Amino acid sequence: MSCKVMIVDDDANIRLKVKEILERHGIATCMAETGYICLENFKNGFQGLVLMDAAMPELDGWDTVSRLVSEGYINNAIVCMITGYSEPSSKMDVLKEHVIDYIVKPFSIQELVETVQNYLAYFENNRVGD
Amino acid sequence: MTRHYENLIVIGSSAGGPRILKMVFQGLPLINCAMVLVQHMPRFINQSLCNDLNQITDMEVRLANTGDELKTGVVYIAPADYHLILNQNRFVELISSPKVNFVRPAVDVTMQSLAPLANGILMGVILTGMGRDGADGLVHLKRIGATTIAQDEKTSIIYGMPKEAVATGCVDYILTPTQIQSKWVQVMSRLRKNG
Repeated sequence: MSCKVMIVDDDANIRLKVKEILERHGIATCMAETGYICLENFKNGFQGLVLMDAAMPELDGWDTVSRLVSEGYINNAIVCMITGYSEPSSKMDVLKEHVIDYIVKPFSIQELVETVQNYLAYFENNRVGD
Repeated sequence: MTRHYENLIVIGSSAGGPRILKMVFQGLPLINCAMVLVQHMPRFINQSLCNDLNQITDMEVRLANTGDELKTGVVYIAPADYHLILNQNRFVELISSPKVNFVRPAVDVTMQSLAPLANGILMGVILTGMGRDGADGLVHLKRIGATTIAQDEKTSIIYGMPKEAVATGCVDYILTPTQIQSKWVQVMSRLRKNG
């Protein structure tokens, strides 16, 4: 997979809006409408930054991160949660080592782009150093 | 800068920390203290965070190793998967004991490993993050004479750890990232780069 940012959100409007913003800044993206598709993308070789909606039906964002950990994909990912709450679910207690940041809705384009660029650089630097 | 430290700042940070740390360290001059940073993070970005901070401050930022002796002018980052304790307030030891507050490294473990400084100034800082790691550690630091700081709610990406720290009643200052840097410079004072 050539994209380095995966947008995981059940809301198509948000997925497309975020994709449009990031691609306007030269950042290639791919999308997943469920946590299951996110996991599938990892199985297919995705490595990079995941923008994960916290509140999704069936497999929510927290449970998807749990699966990334238990299935061994977390070392190929930097996870940034997108949430409507500034104090996240207590589900995240056991996952907080694996979630590096939160973008709290509503967020500005600048905040989104700067955050993505920041962590993408972390990922690229790490890979270069491998 | 290789001299032994007199003053020490211990920083605890979690979710959103890399962004906030950039604000706190941006343009930070060389100041008269050693620093220990405990940031909850995945192991594979240890070095990236270290490199990132190194580019924006005159302090030297490095990943801590067992046996390191704290030096003035150096920021020691606790690597993921290990608790960092300070033996005799001075020597780094990385240990793989069980997680505390669901994390390793835990801020509480590092802060609670300290004893009162014989001389010098001790400071504890809690930045953005969820949960309550660091709250007990900050209480301990306060008891042994430290000045304590929590990040303010408005600038915290997650106002969890700072809120829990404030709730202990042991926080001296509630500050923005910019104000935290100013406080460090004011209290610890600048050093000349080659001094």
